[in-house]
Amino acid sequence: MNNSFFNNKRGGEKYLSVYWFLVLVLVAGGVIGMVTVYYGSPYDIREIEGTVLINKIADCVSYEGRIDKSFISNGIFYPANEQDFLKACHLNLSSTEWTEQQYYFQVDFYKLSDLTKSVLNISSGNKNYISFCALQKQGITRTLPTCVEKSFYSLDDLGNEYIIKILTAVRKSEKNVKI
Amino acid sequence: MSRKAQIGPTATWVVATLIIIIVLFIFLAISAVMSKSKAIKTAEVKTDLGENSEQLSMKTNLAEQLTENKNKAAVDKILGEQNG
Repeated sequence: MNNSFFNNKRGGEKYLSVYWFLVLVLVAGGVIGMVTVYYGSPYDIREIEGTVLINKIADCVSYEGRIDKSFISNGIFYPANEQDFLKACHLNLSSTEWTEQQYYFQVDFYKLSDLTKSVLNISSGNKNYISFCALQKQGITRTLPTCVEKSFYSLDDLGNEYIIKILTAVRKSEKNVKI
Repeated sequence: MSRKAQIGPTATWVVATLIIIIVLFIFLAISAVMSKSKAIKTAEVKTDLGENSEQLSMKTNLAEQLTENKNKAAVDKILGEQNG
């Protein structure tokens, strides 16, 4: 009976139809799989977020080439209180979405004559992220917080020159990377 | 049709199916690799988030103008090293 089925032309066509249907399902499944895999993973925008935070902090620290007098005035450094700095810069690092703070920033002022020692330091946020920045430099990233570091040049009211280095770290791994 | 004569067409269909499966797996692997590098860099995108923000290079430029570009070369060298 089996032999007659294979020998029968109509029986062979039946098998061929099933085969084509299976190939169709296979290809459709593959395409669905590819789309799901690609669009299922989120876009990582933490570098942009870190840069935006740097720009906001930089605008608060220095404007039109001069350092704000609340930080350095007449050669005297005024170490800003963390909360006062956040308030003055209109920054809020907390979020109701996360139980743990997802940001960290650090601002260091260096005299142009001595770039080894920071004369003024302001930092806020989750300090645990600092150690991850070193790992990022080694190329181990993805699920770790993304760090961005930028420097710029500015003057105080007496014309003394400073290099201001701003470091930001943004975690938010769950929303930016498929873990 | 003899059994021997059936082997040829069957082998062709099996090989064709295997090729389809292999090609699909290659594409799946490519999309998995591409999905891992879905990071948008600041240089690649234009946002309006920092529209009112004075760019860092602009800040440096303004400060250099104030000092009449006295240490421009040294400052640019330091910032070039630090900002990459």
